[in-house]
Amino acid sequence: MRPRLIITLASAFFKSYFRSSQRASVSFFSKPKVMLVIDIALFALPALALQLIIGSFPADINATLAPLIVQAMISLPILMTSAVIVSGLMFELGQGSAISSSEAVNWWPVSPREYVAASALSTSSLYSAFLALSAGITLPLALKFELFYLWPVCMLLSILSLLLGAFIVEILKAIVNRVSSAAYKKRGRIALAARLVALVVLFSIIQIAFQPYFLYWFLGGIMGGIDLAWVVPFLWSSSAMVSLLRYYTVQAALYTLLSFLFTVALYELASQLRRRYWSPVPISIAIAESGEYIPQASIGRGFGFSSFASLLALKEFRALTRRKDLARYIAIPVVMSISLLLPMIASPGDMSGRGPGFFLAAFIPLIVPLMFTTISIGQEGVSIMNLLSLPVKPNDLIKGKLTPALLISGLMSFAVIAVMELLAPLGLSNVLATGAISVMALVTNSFIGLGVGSRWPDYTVGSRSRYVTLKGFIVGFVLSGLATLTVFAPVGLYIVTSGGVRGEAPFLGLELLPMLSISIVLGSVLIFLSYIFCKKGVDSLLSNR
Amino acid sequence: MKSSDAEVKYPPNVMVTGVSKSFGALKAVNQLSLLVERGEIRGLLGPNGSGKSTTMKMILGLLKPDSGNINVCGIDVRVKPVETKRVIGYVPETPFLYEYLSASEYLDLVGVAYGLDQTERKKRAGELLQALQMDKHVNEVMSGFSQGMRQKIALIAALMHKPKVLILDEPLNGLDPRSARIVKEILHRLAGEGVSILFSTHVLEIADAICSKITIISNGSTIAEGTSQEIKTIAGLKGSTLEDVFLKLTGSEDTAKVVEALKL
Repeated sequence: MRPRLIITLASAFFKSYFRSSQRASVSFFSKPKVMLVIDIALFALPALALQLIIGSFPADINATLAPLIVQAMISLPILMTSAVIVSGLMFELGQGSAISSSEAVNWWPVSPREYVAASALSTSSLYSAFLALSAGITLPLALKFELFYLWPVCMLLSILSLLLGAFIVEILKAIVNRVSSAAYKKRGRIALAARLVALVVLFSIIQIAFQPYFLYWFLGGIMGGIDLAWVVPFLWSSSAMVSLLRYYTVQAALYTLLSFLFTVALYELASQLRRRYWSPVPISIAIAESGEYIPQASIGRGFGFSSFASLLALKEFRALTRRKDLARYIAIPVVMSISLLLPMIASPGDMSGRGPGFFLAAFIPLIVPLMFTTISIGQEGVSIMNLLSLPVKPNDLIKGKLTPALLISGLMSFAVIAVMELLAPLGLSNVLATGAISVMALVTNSFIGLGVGSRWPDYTVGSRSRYVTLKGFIVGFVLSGLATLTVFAPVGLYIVTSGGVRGEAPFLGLELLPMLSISIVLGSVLIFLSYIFCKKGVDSLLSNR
Repeated sequence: MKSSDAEVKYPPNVMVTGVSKSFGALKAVNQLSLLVERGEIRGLLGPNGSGKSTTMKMILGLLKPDSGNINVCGIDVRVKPVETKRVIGYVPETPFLYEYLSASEYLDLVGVAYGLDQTERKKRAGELLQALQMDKHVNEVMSGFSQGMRQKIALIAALMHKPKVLILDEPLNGLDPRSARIVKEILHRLAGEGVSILFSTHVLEIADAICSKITIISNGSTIAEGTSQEIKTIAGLKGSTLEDVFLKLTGSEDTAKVVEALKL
């Protein structure tokens, strides 16, 4: 182990995160020293501000704050771990195998232990701002409520948990590589489909396991029954905090020691996995037995689709199902739907579930098509040259790119509406109206997404790529948010005021049909405007204007 | 070119007139003019960063020139970019294929984009796949392909629609000797059929052997143009190799001094 090498490597990984996508706006932050200054500021400013005003808090606020600060300090270590894992899943695991295998570090004389230590250190540094801010907020409050004896231990355990999360990300990287390698050894399309399912299930399980709803449930469990928490190693750090709070110092020391040993064990496991699956070599996979070129018959003509638009749509589906970095985008809506449906699943028949249910019905047509279409140009990476050099008509590109997004988000929207109706019924007419305006929102947001994606693509395909510039992301989100709100507002207003959401009596006397008509008229106008926005973006992309 | 065609004077397939292109402060191409006649293999030579790839991309409509005009087969690139691309076959310096597609799926996509039906695709791509010994790999996902295999697929994709103009940026990169020979012969045959080929390479022996005319550019401007012999005459190095001429014209003759200074 060469500590200097580890620090140098970690610094290089840290810089590459900010510089890989050539985002000028973040280049200022691309130095570890700058990040350190930011961390110090994030600690010092809230700490000073709170220290100045804390004396003037009224007694009733203090009474509310005291248990909250205890809960926060107990939760902080496990929250650090979950934050790193969830972000790590979205970014670290998003990179393609070709990039992982061509990383220069693979052929340098760097041992697996050194690599894992450096990679985990750089990942942890990226989230250090969150820890610094938490430290700055909790310190004056801990002093005020005479909980300072908890604070240093909380910080120590949080740093340890940050590293723990980073090691788990390293382990997951190796598992994903293993899944990919296993798929590559098999022949045919089934192997590709199996790999996609395995990745989506893995992403979904991890994300849901570290979802706040579950964490809250777990933490509630610790507070209620500390004796049971020893079976969950991830909770040992929080258990140490609870033990210390109760002045069980030996137990606290034991849990702290166990947390440390668990982190070391995961580091060792990550190193061993790295040694074994050090590089996901992109081995070729045959998808058919035949060695002969048999061109596909022209498909999909009709419904206004040319053969090329159909093949382009097929290519987009293949990209989503075959590229590891895009599998996470399929996992996101799955996780999102499950997370939002959880309260309803936990208590079926409870009418209060209609609120999140209707929110979800609007949320899916906003987020899912927007996500798939904004990335649809940038995810091409350097291969965009194919589309730019081929004689592609703008309308063919629009149809080819939008079809997968519309199909996936459409299926997801209707599935969510159906589940919502089963668990907390809104009534058939309300559901049909929600379905109709969902379709309008889906189409509008798909056009907006592609318009944004073609105007502000980020072609960086690699670690932490997001395929659209920050500006594009913000513009797309704002435009789609406004469009969805506009389309859903009239029907939503009717459903809320007619008591549909909470099972109350109607109080505005609105009728569904007129409100639905308003939604449809607004939706039609928005579809037209968003199409123009999309067409202009695609035109300028293809003709280089 | 057929003898009957030779008597008829056709306009050049590629006409680049006074084109300039800047990237910020960098003037990549400066008032460049270039004609590629029917049946001509035009070598475009120049040091790294001299503007070769930029010129090719402008002809293809991938980059918009700041000034000047580009006309391909009578079509103004700026006015009708899609129609222009339809008559061109392009192989970029690094072939950016869709790695997650199989070669077969990729060729289908490209063939359909050029408007080829199933029979034409089978015939054209099938022949080329066989000639370049890629037929056994046609149903493999391209992520596992070597550089040479990718280059072959890019060449097949560029040739399968029988383009009138071929723009080839280092097309022989990574090819094995047999495939390189086959590609050279294909190019000669296509030129004989009236296809205009704009060919960029750093291997000057290849340029000398296969190009009917050569344009040497430096800092975005033409510094010499003509047949290999004409250029040698212009440089005053009649009996020398094209490499010596190139180094003299581009002011890179100090190679021996550079190596000497390294003190390896």
